[in-house]
Amino acid sequence: MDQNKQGEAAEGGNIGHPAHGKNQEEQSNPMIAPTNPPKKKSLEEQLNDFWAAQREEAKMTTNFKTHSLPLSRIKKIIKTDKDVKMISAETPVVFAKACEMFIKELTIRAWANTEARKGKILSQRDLVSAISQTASFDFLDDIMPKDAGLPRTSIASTENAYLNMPPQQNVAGLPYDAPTMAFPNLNHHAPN
Amino acid sequence: MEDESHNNTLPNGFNTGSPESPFLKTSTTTTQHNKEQDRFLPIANVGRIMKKVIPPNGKISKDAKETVQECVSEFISFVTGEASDKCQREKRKTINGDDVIWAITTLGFEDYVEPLKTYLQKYKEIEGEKLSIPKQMRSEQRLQQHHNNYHDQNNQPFNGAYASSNLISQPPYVPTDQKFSLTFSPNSIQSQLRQQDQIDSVGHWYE
Repeated sequence: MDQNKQGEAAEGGNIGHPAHGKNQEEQSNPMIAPTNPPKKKSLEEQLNDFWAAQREEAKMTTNFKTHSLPLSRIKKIIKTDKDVKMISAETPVVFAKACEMFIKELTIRAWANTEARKGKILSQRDLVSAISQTASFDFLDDIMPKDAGLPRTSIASTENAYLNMPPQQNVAGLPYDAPTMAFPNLNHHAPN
Repeated sequence: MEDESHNNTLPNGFNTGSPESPFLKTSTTTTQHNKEQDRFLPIANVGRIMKKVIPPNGKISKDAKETVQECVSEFISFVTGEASDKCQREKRKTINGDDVIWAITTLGFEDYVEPLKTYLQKYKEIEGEKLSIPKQMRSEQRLQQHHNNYHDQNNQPFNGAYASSNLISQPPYVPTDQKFSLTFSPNSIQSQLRQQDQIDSVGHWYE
């Protein structure tokens, strides 16, 4: 059975088209033999399709006046780094595109974990798993809750675990030296 | 770093740089303890992007969206730090798009590089066209600052005023032979006619 994930990835990169007319037949069928943990295309294939779509989309972009992410907010986050003095006008524009791709890549990897556990809702622990499995996401280890082994989906305990995280930075295993890390983000969990 | 920002300019606006610097020099940090909301991208935008890459019947929990909000801010700070370090090593003050792409390459996000280079190139082409055609742009909410920046660069009036040329007027010719006039004339009309005859026929003073 070949579920059409490619159309999903290709269309997902299209700015300004939130509606999806395709993939209506895509259903999570627990009866399928789990030869591959993600029952659809493999994660590798999904990502290859995703990046091919991103390359094509970048070529076709002609409207730089509307962005999927607000430039003013991106600029504020950039300026939280005290070492940053000046940025050119193009810098937040490049970041908007990079952040969009980052969110999509992270979500694709997390959803693969959702499917592996036969879930329907992408949750925080799917993100934690995806981040732990991806080398380029190592820089996120410090801000992730340390409950990857949590057996039950418990929002309350997840929140408690997050809020009770120790604030000190775990420098062991970090592949980079980041003296300009702006905020630990550990004690500023967004209110529900 | 515990030091507080001293560049408190307009709360929501931006402060243009010195005339020597054509790039934006902005500092929107008002206090050390910014509103928590300002340190994350809006959760609605994040959720919308996430939904584009999952099946239509899939759902995303709120805690997942909030986690991605934090991850994106961390991603921005991570890349910014690397780009800023590079600029300092090269004694440059302004982080530009190429610095961001370089940092992303260095930090292991190779797949991002080709789309970003293409994207930045097209952006420069389009913005370059805007630069060469000065016009009053309608208000663009998100790119207003960029437009102001480019508009300032194009706000130089044309000083080449065309000098007015004066007509070279020649002095009128005054005939000198009109000095001689008849003192005795029985009729004024005849006198005028004779004067004309004298003018027309050169060499015949008396008939």
